Amino acid sequence: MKSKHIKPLLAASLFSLAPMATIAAVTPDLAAQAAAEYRTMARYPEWSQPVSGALADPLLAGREATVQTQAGPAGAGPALSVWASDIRYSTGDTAYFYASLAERTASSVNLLAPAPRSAAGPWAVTGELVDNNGQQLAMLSYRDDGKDGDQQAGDGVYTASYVLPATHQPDIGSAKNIAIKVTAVNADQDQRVALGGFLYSQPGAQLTGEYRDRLSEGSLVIAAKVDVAVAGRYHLAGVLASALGESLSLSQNAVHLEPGSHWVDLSFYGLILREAGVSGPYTLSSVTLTTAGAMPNALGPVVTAAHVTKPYLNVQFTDKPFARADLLDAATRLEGLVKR
Amino acid sequence: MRYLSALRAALGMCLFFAVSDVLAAPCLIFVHGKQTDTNTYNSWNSARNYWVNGSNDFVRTATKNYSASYYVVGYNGTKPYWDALAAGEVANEIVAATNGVADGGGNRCAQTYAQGGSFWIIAHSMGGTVTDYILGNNDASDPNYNYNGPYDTVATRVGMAITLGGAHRGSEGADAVCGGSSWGCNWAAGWIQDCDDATWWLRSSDDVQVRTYASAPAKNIYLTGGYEAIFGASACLSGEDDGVVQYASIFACSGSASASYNNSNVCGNSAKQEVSGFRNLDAAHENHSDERDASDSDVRRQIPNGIWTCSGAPCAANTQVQSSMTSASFISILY
Repeated sequence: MKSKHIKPLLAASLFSLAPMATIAAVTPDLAAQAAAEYRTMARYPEWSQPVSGALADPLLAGREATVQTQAGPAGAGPALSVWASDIRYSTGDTAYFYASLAERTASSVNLLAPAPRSAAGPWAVTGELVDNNGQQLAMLSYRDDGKDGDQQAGDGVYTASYVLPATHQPDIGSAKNIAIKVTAVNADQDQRVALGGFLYSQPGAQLTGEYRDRLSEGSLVIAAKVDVAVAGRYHLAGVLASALGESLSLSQNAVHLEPGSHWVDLSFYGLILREAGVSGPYTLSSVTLTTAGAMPNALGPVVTAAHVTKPYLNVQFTDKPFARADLLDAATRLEGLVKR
Repeated sequence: MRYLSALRAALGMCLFFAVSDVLAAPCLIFVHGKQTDTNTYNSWNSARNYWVNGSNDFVRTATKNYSASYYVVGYNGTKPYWDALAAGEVANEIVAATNGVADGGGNRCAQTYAQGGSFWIIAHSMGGTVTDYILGNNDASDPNYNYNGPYDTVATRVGMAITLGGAHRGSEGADAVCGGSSWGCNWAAGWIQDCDDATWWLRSSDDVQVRTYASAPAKNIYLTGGYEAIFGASACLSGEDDGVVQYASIFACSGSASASYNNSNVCGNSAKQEVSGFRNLDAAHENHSDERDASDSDVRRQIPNGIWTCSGAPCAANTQVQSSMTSASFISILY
């Protein structure tokens, strides 16, 4: 059990694990610091940003499902954790939902109350799917028997699956939030409840899988062919990686499209590739098309390893900074402030 | 007569320095957090009082006793962060502030944008989420560009944002309330007692998170927040928290919104919810309410990639850098 930081009178002298002494510390000039960073960031356009190769693909990272965890009354263990196999699904997709019960490492210390009793399994785990109007879509039973999508019997990870039905599907080009309220009950009727969720998404356009690339004004442009079912605003985002799989740049574009087939450009600013010192061929390591224009947006799936470009030498790309006007202006204004 | 002239000159010098102080400082634009009613939207005094606790006044302290100019925004904090009455209202008010329009209390920025002013957003809790949405949808290439307001103008005119206990990745408290599992959580913060539209959109589920619907912010968002737990409530949150929002959210971490962090290991600047634009400042021994009402002058600690320097180098994470300083006072020393 980890002690959280509580009022000093009660906690600091008894439980705090951190050093107590204050050392001489100062804050730098935040305005000057921000201004310097803006001058660096201004080298690239807002629609194409460099990505540190050491980091995970940002599009894929953004689709990593959060694990929702809730303990029992007054923090009693075990806590119920729930998560889904994805953050969005479309009609006909099979969604997998997972749950596990474990003692939580982080728990509040209450000096005035006894530690809550921890409950023991076995647990019966169920899930209720509801939309944001409270309408129930389905009731699900979780299993830990190695069947129907449950990967391993008896591993403590309970699994439920659900095929997204057409009966509850959002209008084409839109999406709705679905919550899954998961309840675990044991023989003593101890109960744990946790709330997860996902997006039921019906994008109004699809990536066709056709791509082509070109050099344009010193930047690398990858065009993606899309099939549009309904007119609307569409947002295309993609990550360009080196042949070794290191992410180089995240780029985005948004356009209004009418029904039919269209090519949509994704431009990776040349200076980023030039500075990376890596020549092509490059890989469009992830790409996704979102139907925007209304909240929640209708997210499309992320396609990985979508396209490999022609070979390009990195010196073919521009060495000219973009000079983002808004950042340079902000930097000048910040530099004009006087820290007192 | 000579004495009168000297007095006049002295007064003139004082006035000169007072005016130059105002002009040399940014205009601070305050954006409050989640509400259970529409009072802060309908009444400017309610929005102003959000930052006050008895004789403690965040705005007065952060502006160095009003030596910096300021503007207090009021929006409908019962609506989703992306709503026209939330993000849309905030965007319109910020643009108004930068044009020299006075807020409901008659306060206006000392310089307009056209006159060369610099504007800093100071946002608490859901105000941080609203700020993410606006600054991450300012460009024509963003998914929700100018969704319901002049986000582009805001992003052009704002120099930076500082968030206090920002719900950048939602709140596990909102999960508990909306899931009906808030038993024993004892929410001290009034807003989290009810699963209204705003709370629904402040859950930690990815389908409601602002990062799903916004790109990297156009201007830097600097992050600070509290680690003073609230008995009961904090039992429902992962890792360190301010009693309402967990660290993974306060510090806009990538990965799971419910990952467990403390002052030593909270995500640094290269592991944020977007590829750029989020920067750590520090952490305070304050709870969620203390963060915005200057009522708890307490310990402050360095966090990874935090702003404090010790002997010319960044202080080590978890170093106690102040023994008694409110977040309002902290902001006042940043400019």
